Amino acid sequence: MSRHEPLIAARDLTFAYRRGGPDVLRGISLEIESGTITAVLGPNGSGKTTLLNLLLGWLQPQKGQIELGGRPHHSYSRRALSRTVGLVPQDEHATFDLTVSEYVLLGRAPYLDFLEMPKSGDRELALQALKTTGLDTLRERSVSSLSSGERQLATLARALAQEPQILLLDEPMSHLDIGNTRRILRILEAMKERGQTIVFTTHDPNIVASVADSAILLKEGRLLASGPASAVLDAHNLSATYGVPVEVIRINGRLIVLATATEKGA
Amino acid sequence: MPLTPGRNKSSRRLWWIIGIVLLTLVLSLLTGRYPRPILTPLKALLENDLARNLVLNLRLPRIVAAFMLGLVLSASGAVFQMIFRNPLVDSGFLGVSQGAAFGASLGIVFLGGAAWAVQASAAFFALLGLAASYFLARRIRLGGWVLRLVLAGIAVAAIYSSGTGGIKYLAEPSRQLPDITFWMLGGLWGITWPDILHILPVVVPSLIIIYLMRWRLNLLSMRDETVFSLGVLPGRERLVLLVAAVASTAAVVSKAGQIAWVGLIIPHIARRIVGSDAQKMVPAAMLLGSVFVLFCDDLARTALSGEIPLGILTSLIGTVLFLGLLISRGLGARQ
Repeated sequence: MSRHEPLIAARDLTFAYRRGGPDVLRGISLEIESGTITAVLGPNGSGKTTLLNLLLGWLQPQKGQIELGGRPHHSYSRRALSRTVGLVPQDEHATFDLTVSEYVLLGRAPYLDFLEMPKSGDRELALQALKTTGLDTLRERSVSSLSSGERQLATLARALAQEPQILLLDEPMSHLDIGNTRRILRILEAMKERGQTIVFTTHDPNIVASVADSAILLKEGRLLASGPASAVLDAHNLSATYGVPVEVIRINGRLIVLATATEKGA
Repeated sequence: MPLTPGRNKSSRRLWWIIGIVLLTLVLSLLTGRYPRPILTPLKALLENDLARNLVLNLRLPRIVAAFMLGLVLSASGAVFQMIFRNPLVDSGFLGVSQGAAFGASLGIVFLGGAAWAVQASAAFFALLGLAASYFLARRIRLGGWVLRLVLAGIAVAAIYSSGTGGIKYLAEPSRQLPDITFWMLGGLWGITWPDILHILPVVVPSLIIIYLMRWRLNLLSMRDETVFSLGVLPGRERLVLLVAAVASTAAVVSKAGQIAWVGLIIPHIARRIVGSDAQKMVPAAMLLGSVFVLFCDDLARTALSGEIPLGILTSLIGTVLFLGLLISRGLGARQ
C-alpha cells in the first residue's frame, strides 16, 4: 500500500454484541486504500460479517474508531453515509414480492428526499445496473422467484444503483456457480477501475488470489495478518487461520491455494 | 425502453379501480330502504323532500364515513404489514383495536355512555396502546426492533382484553352489556355530518402522510442492516408512519366500532391486482378498501329491514375472500 491517507482507517476496534459478553472482534487495526479490492478471510465465526457491519456504521465499536476519508462515521448524516458506503448482505430478501426492477430501484433511496418518489433518472440508473449484472431480461420477475445466485446478482445490482464510494459485500460468491462468480468478479474489477473501493468477505482464498489487491485474515476475532494479497496468502498464514495444512503454489504467476489432506511428509 | 413495462399495466388497473370506486359511491347513494327497498329512484330524490333530506343528511354522511373507514383501515393495514414485515398483521397489533374496545367499554360503563365519551375514550386508549407498546418495546431485551414491538403489542393487547373482560363483568347486564356488545360488532348507523367533521382533522393529515411516504414502505420492509445502508432513518420513519396509521384508525374506530378484516385482507387483494410495490399498492388498497366497506355497509343497511352490524359483514365476507386468496395463490409474500 502507498503511504498517503487511506480511505478507510480502523484503529484498535473491539466489539461485543452485548455488554459483558465475549468480544467478537478484538484490537483490530487496518487501513484500506481508495480504488482497491480488499478481501476479508477467516473461518466461520471469526468476525468477518461483524467487521463489515462496523465499517458500514450499523454497529458501533465498544473501543476504537473508524474513519472514512479521514472523518468518523458519526460526522456523516445518514444519507451522506449511505452515498459513501453500500452493503450487499448475505441472503438478502424482500418480504413482499417486489419485481427485480422495483427491488433494484430501492438502491436510489440515498438520493431521494423523505417524501420523494424515484424519478426517470433513477429508473435509468437502475436499468443500467440491471444490464451490468445481466438481469435486464428478468426485470419483471419477482425477486422471490429467482435462484439464489440470481438474487445475489439482484442485490449487487441494487448496490450498483446506489453508486457508493465504498462497497461492502458479505460472501457475495457463496451461492454462485462458476459463471456467475466470474461475472461478479468482473463487475467488482470494473467498479475498481472507476475508482470505487471494494471490501468483501469470502471463504475461498483462490478468489482472493485472483482479484484482491489486499487481504485481511481474521481468526477468533483477532487480526492474524493484513497487507498485499500476494504477501498475506502464504501457507503459514492460511494454515494458522484455518487450522489445516495449506499449500500455496504459483502457476504462471498466479497463486493457487490447496488445502491438503494431511501434514506434509506425514 | 421503459424500465418496468408492468408499471403501465398497474397504472391502468389503478384507473379501473378509481372507476369502480366512483360507481360504488353513486350506487351506494341510490341504495337504501326509503322510499322503497333497494334502489331509490332518481325521481324520488327530485320530488320527495323527505327522500332528499334522508339521502343528504343520513345516507350521504354514512357513505362518506364508510369511504373514509375503508381508506383508513386498508392504508393502516398496508403500513402495519410492511413495517412489521409480516403479511398477517393489521391494526390489531400494538394493542390499537383492543385499546379502542377497552376505551369504549369504559366509556359505556363508567363515563355515562354518551356518544362523545365513548368515542373519545376509545380513541384515547387506542393511542395509549400504541404509546405503551412503543415504550415497552424499548425496554424489552429480546430480538430486533420489529420483534420487540410485536411482543410488546401482544402484551398490551392482552392487558386491554382482560380489562375489557373485567368491565363487561361489571357492566349492567340489561343496558350497558348490550351497548358494549353492539359497539364491538361495529356499524355506521348513527353517523352524522358533525361526526365526520370531528375525525377529519386526524384522518386527512394521516392519510396524506401515508400516501406521500408510501414508496419508503418498500425500504422499511427490508431487514434492518439494509434499511440502514440505504440511508433510511428506520426508527423515525417507522414511528411517523405508525402514528399516522394508529391515529387515523383510532379516529374512525371511535365512531364506527370494531370493523375487522379490512386492514388484513384488502392490502393482499391490492397486491394481486397492481403488484407489491407500495407506490401502487397503497393507493390501490385504499381505494379497494373503500369499495369493500361501502359494499358491506350497503348490505348492512338494505339487506334486512333492520340493521346488520357492519363488523359481522366485513368479517364474514373478508374471511371468505381471505380463504379464496390462500387457496388460489397465496399472499404474495415470503412464507
